[in-house]
Amino acid sequence: MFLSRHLRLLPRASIARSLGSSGAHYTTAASSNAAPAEEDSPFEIPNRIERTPTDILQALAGTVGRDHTAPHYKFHDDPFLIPMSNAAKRTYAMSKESGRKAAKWIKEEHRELFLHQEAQPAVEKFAPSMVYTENSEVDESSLQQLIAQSEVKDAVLVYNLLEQKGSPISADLKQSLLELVCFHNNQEPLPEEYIEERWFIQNNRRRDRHGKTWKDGDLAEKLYAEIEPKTPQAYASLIRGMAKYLQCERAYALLQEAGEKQIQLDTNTFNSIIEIVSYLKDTAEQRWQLCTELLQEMSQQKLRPNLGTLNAVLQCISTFGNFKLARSSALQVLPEFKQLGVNPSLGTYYYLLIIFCRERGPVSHVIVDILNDIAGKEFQIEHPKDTYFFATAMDVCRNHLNDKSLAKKVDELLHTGKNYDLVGDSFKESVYYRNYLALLCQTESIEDFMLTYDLLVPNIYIPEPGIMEEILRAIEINNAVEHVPRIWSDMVVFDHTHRESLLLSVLRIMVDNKPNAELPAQQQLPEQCAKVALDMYERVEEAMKRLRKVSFTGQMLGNILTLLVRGGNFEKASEVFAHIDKNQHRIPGTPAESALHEYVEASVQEKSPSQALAALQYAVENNMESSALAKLIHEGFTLNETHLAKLKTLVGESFLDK
Amino acid sequence: MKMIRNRFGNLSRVSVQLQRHVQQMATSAAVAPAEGATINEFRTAVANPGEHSALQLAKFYTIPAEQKKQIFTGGGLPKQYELQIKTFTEACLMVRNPALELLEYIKGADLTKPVVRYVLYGENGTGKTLTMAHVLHYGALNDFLLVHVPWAPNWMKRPKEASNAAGQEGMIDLPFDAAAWLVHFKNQNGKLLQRLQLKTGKEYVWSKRESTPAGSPLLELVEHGIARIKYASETTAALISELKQLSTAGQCKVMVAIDGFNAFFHPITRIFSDNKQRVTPDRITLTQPFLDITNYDWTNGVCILSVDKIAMTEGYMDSYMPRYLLGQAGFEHLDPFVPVHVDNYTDKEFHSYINYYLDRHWINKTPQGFEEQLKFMSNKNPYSLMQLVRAL
Amino acid sequence: MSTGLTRVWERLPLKKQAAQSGIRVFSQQQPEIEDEEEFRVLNLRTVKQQFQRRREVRRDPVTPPRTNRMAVDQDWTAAWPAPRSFHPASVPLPLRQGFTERGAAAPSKFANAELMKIPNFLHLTPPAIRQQCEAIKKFCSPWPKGLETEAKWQRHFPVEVITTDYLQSLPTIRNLEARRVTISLKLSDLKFDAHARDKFLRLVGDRYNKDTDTVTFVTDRCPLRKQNYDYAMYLLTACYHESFVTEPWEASKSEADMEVYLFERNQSKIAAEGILNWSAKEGDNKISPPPAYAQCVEQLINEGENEYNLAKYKEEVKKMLNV
Repeated sequence: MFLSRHLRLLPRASIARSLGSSGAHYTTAASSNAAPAEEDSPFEIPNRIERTPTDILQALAGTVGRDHTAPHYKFHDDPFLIPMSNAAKRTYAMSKESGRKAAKWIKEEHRELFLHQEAQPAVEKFAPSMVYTENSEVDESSLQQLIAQSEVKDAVLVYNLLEQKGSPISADLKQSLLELVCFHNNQEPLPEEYIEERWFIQNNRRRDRHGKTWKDGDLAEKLYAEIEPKTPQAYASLIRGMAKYLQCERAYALLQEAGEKQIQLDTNTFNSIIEIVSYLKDTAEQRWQLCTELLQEMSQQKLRPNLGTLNAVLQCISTFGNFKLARSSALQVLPEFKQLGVNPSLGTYYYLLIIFCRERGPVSHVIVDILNDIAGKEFQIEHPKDTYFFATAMDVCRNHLNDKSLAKKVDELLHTGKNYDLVGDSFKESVYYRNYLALLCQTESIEDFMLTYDLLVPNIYIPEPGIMEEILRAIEINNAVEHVPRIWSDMVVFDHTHRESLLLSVLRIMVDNKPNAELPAQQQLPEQCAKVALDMYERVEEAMKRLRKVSFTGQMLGNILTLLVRGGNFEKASEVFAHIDKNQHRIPGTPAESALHEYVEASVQEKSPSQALAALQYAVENNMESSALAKLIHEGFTLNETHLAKLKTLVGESFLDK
Repeated sequence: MKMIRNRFGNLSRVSVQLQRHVQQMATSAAVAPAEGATINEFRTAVANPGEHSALQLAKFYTIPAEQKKQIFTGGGLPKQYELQIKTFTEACLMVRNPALELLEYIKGADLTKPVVRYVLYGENGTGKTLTMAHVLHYGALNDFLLVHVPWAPNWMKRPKEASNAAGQEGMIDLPFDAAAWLVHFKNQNGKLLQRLQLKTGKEYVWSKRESTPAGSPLLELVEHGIARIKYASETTAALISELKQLSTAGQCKVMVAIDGFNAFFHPITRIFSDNKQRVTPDRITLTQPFLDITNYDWTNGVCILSVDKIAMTEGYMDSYMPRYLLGQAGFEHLDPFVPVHVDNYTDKEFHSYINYYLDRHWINKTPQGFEEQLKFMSNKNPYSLMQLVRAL
Repeated sequence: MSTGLTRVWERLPLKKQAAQSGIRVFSQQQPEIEDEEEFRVLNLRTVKQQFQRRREVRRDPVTPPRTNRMAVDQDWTAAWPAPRSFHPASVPLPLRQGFTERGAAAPSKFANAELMKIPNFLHLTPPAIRQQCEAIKKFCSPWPKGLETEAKWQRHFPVEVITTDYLQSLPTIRNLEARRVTISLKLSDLKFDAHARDKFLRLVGDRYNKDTDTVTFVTDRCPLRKQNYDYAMYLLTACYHESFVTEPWEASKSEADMEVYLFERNQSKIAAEGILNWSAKEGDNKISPPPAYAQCVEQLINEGENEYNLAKYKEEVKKMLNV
C-alpha cells in the first residue's frame, strides 16, 4: 500500500516561473502560448494540517467496527480453530502464549544465533538479555539499568556482587533498590509481555488476598537496616511494601515510629496504611476511628490527599459490617474529597456500589446517579480497582435492582471510546456478561434476547451451564420452543452435555410444549426435536462408555422416546425402548406413562404388535398402569394366537372380552 | 474520320481473326451500356494503345499475337496471366486509368527536356506490371527503343550464376542473366535497330584479342554480348551508355521500363561472393547501367519504373509507398519523379472484367448475386479476383 | 418387584478372560439367551465395560463456517478491514473457480488454491473506500482558491513532482523505493529557439514523449528523497541552459545527424536544379526549383508518406516538369 503525493507544491516551483518569465533573452520558436496577460489571479495555498505519523492510520482504524461472527483477534479465523468453549478459549490463548515463551526460551538458550538486529529502529526485546553470573563485571550503572528495567532477581544478584567486591553504592541507588525490592516483595513479577497469562490469572489472587505474604527479615529489611540515617523515602518504601503484602502490624508500627521521629512521609504511604486498616482493627467504629486519625495526621503534615486516598478510605469503609455507619461515612467522605478537588475514578464508584448495594441490605439506587454522572465519558486506568467497576455494576443491575435499562446504560458506557480496556481480566469479563445475559433473558422478550445472544455468543462470551439453564427457563416461560434446537447445538459445542439438569430441562421443554404446526417457525420442530433427542441419547451412550458423569434416568429416556415418536422416527424409538427394556436394572426410575402410551400408539400405527406387546410387558413388570395400554393394543391390532396368548398371560383374561 | 474508318477496319479484321459472332456496338460514349445485356460491351476494337482514350476505359483490347511475341517473349507479363492467355487463346488487356494517364504524359512529353521518371506503385495485384505492359505495347508501336527489365528482383534473388567481374575488382557479374537480357533486348528491338541503323560511338575493348570498333552497328554489340557470355554484363553497360548518347543526340527514342526497380536498392540479395558473404546490389555490375539510365542526364526518352512490395525480402514489406520501398538512396536517385498510383478496380472495370470471364466461359455457375459476392470477397483487387474466379 | 425374569449372561467370564488376554472374539456370537421361560437374574453389580476394539477417533464438534451466521446487511468493512488472502469460511459469497471437465461444476470455494492465490479486493469495496475517505478528510486542507481549472494550475505550477510513500508490515519502516522522485514538465512551458530546442531534445533523449510533449526525469541515484529531488531539478536546469550554448564541434553536424530533412541541403535540390537547368548554358540565370516543390518534398520526407503527401508531391512535380 502506498500513498502518493501528487502535485507537491513546493517553493522550488519558482524555477518554472523564472524560466517562463525570462523569455527576454531567448527567441521564442513559434510558441503559441505567449499568453502573458491572462488573469494572474492571486491564489493562496492553505497551510498543511499537521498530523503525527500515525494519525491517518488511527483515523482509518477508527472506521473498523466490530464483526460479531468473528472470534477474538488473537485466535485463528478458521472454523476448526475458533474456540467454542471456555476451556478451549483458555487453552488456545495460553498455548499461543506458550509458543511465545518457547521462542523466548530458545532465544535465551541459543543466544549466539540471535545477535542480529533487522528492525529499524532496533527492538530491544529481540536481542538476548544480559546474563549475570557470579563472575560478571558489574558496576553501578548496570545496577541502575536493571532497576530501571524492573529485573528483580538480576538486580539483587548484581547488588550482592557489588557488595562482595566491596564497591561503594550510592545512597540513591540503594534507595531505588529498596523500592524495587519492597514493591515486588523480592519476587520476580510476571513479565508484562505475557498478556494471556495476565488475562487469565483469575482466581489465584483471591487466595493471596487475605494472607500475609511479606517476607520477614528478607532483603528488603536488610537494605532498610543498611540505610543510615533513615530517610523519609526509606521509611515510605518499607511501609508501603509491608502494607502491600499485608504485613499490617509492622507497617503500622513503622508508621508510628516515623511519626514519632517527625519524619515527613507522603500521601501514598498513608494511603497504603489506610488500605490495611481493616486488618488492624475489627469493629466498624474502630476502623473508622483509625481512618479518621490517619487522615488528620495527613492534614497535619500538610499532605494533600489524592485519588488513592479517596479509594483507600472507601475500601476501608466497604469492610464495615455496620451498614448505617458505612453509608453515612461514605456520604461524608465523598463531598469532602470533591471539595479538595479529587476526581472520582471508576474504582471509587466500585467501592460505592459495594458499600451501598449489599445483598442483604436495603435496595439502593445509587447506581442510577453514578451512571448519570459518568455517562458518555471515556476513562483511563487510574487506580487498580478501576477494573472491578463494570462487573460489579452489572451484578448490581441484575441481582440488586433487576433493571434492564440500567444494564443497557452500563453496556453503553463500556463500549464508549476505550472503556473496554477497563474490563479487567477474563474472569471479570465473564462475570459481567453472565450477569448481563441473565438479566436480559429474564426481562426481555425472547426475540430481542436471542438477538443479543447472537451478537455475544460465542465469540465474546460463552455462557456457563447456569446461564444456559436460565435461558432455557426463559424459553420455557415464553413458550418459544423453536429456539431449543439452536440452544441444544450451542450446548453441545460449549461442552455442557454432562450436566444432567440441563439435559433434563431441555427434554422437558421439548416434551411439554407440543409444537404448533401453524407457526412457520415451528413447522420443522418435530423432526428437529427428534434429532435433538437422538443426539442426546447417543451422547449419553457415548459418555457412559467413557465412564463420564452422566447416565440415563427413566424419565429422561421416556422423554426421548416421546420425542422420537413425535418426530416420526419409529425405528429409533424402538431401539431406545429396547434399551430401556434391556437395561432396566441400571436405569433408575421409569419412563412416564404418557411416554409409553405414545409409544404404543405409534407401534399401533406402524403395525408392529411385538413392540406393543413388549411395551405392555414392561409396563406390567414395572407396575405401571397397563390396562389402558392393553386396551389400546387389543383394539388396535388383530392379534394372532401367540400374541393373544401373551396378552392373556400379561393382563389376564378379562380384557379379551371387552 | 480516318480514325473511325480505321477502327471499323480493325473491327472487321478482329472479327475475321476471332471467327466469332461479334455484335457491333456504338462507340459513342453518350449511350450508357445496359447492364449485363450484350457480350461485347467490355471489348474495344482499338488495338493501338496510342489511340486509347477515356472512351475505352474498362474495355479490353487484344494484343496481336506476333506483337505479343515480339515484346513479351523475354518476360513482362506475369506467369498467371500467361497461363490465362494460353487458356483463352488471346492476349487481352483492359484499358485502365493509370495506363491512360501514363500514356497521356508520354504523349505530351517534351522530349528535349531531361527524361521524366514515372513510378508506378500500388498494393499487390493491382495491375502495375500489366499497366507497364500496356505502355510497352504503345512504345513498341510508336518507334521507341525498349529497354525493358521484366522483373529486376529476379537478378537479385534467383541469379543463374554469379561470377567475379572480369573488368572491375570486387564486383560480381551475372553472366547468364545479362545474356538473357540481351536476347530479350534483341527480340524486342531487332527490327527497329535495323531500321534506324544505330552505330556505336566508341570503341570497346573486351580483351587483348577482342574488341568492337567504334561505328559498328549496335546489333553487333548485342550479338557479341550474347555470344560471349563472359562479357555479357560489360556489353550491357556499354549498350546502355551508347543508347543514352544516341538518344541525347536525337537519333532514337528510348523507353525504359523496369519492373521492381526497388530491387536495385534493397540491401539483401541472394548472391554470395566468394567468401560466402552477401553482396549488396551496388556490387553487382548489372545494377550500374540501369541506375545510369534512370538518371536525368539524358533526353529524348521516358522512364517508367514500378516499385513493388514483393520485390523486397521478408520483413521489409510493410508499406507499398514508393519512398519506403526505394529507401533514402533510391529516392534521392529518382527525385523528382512522378508517382502514379495503381489502384483496385472501379465498379465499371470490375463489371467489365466479370463479363469478359463470362464471355470466355471461365465462370460457369452464376447464381443470383454472384457478382456482388465476388466484389465483396476480392475487394475488387484484380489478383484476388483472378484467384477466386479460378475456382468457379 | 413382581416376578422378574432374569437373563443370565453366561459367557461373561469367558469374555472377560478373552478381553484380558486380548483374544479376538469377533467370530463368536453375542449371546443373548432369550429364553422367556427362565427367570431373569437381577444383577446390581456394574458390568465392566467391554474392551473397545476399535478406538474411535473422537472429534470435537466443528461449527459450520461462520458465513452461515452473517447477516445480509452486515458491516462488511468490519468483517474484512485489511487485505487478506481469501478465506472461504469468512466470505459469504458462493464463489466457484477453476477448470473441470465438461459438464462438471467449477470447484467450490473451500480449499480452492486458485481463489487463494489471486489477489482479492474485498477490503476495498465502495462503502469501505467511502468510509475511509470520510475518515481522512479531516486531514485535508481545502483546495486553494484561484486554482480551479487545470489550465490555471498548469500555468502556475508547470512542474509536476511525484513521490511515493510506502507502508509495510516489516520490522523496518524504511523502504528503499521511497527515495524515487519523478519530475515532469511540458516542453511548451519552456522557451527555446530552434537550435536550443533541438539540442535539448538530443540531451534529454528518451525522456521526452512526443505525443504528450512532456519531458520526465526520474531520479533515484541518491539515498534520500530530498537529494534526488534536488538532483532532478539540477538536471532540468542544466539541460536547459546547456541547450543554448553552442559548442564548436556542433558545426560538424552532417546530413546523417540532421533531425529534419531540409531541401536546401540535399540531393533533391541538386537533382531538381539539374533537371531544370538542363538546357541552360553557362552564365545564364539558374532557375531554382519552386519553393512549393521544396516544401512538399520536405513534407513528404519529414512527415512520412501517405496518399495525401504523395498526391501533393505528384502535383508539384508535374507542375515543375511541365508534364
